Amino acid sequence: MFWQIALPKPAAVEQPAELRMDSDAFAAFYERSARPLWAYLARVSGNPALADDLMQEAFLRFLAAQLSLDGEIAARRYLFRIATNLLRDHWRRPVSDSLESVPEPHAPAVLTDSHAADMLGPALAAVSPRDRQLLWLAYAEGYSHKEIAEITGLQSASIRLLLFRSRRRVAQLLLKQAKGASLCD
Amino acid sequence: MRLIACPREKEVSTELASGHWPHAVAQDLLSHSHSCSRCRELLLVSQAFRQARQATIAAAPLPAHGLVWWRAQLRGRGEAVQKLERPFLTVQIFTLLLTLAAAALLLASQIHRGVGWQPWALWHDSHPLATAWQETESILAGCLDWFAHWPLALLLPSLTAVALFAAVAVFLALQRDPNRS
Repeated sequence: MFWQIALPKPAAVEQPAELRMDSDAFAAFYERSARPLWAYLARVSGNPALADDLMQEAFLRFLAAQLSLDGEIAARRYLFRIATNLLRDHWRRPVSDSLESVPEPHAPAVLTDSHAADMLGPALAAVSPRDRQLLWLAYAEGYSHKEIAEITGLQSASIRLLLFRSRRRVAQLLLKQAKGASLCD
Repeated sequence: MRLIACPREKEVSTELASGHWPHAVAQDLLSHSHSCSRCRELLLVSQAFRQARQATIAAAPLPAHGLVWWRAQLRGRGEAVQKLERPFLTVQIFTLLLTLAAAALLLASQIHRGVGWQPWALWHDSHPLATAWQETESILAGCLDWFAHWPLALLLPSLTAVALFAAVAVFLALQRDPNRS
């Protein structure tokens, strides 16, 4: 299948076997993982409608992979890896002007509900999608450099430098916004 | 850009991750974080991201897990069926090729028997295509000798049967839904 080509091969998994998750186990895993995954996709892409689609696709591919993963943490990491690949594929695709590509009207409100989200939005928009991914995985999800390397497919050594640069940039933007906001008040 | 990390950054990260910051943190680490620009940066970015995560998670519109599970099962079944159908497709392609070969043989045999409907007869003997045709014909002649002497009563039903098989193969191939997943 074409879509199976995009499936990442996790480093620490056993050979494909029977479907490891039954419906109940999946329900529990979904309840715990779906929201963080959606938040990641929505924040990095800036498009909640796209996040809806990619999240479902990520779970479908996760289930189709039929892998036996070493615990829920590894399973979640694998799920994030699938989602990261899906995002990358989406960005590589040529931009279409079709009606389906127009974002839902409710989209921006979801991402700017709180003050923090409102502050972070412009700062995130100012950095590259790759930097948004790295920053979200490191500071929102709390993944280590090694884990981020596994999820994104980047070299572990380069993640430190990339994160350092993008963190500094976002911090400067946040400070600038905070100063601007205090001046307005 | 010089990458100078603070040696206490790890401690700050750990306290943040465990939710101890700022109320359950050692006083010296707290005062260090006020004076160190790296740690201040880390705190600012980490807190902004964590708050944004909480707000986004709270607003996440999720489809029911049953729907995702059902779609995964459906996709799995579709794929299993496609895997099962793959040999049939091979047979269909093979049949189609066989039919084309049989049709070519029939055509060649009929020409060899001198039906006289070669439009190429108009060519002059010295025409390069005519020469090529004569050469091909002589090569085929040996191979087709056996086939060419088949009685027409046997040849035509055989070819009709092969053509029917091919038609069924093409029909089945066209019936496949390309959007099935």
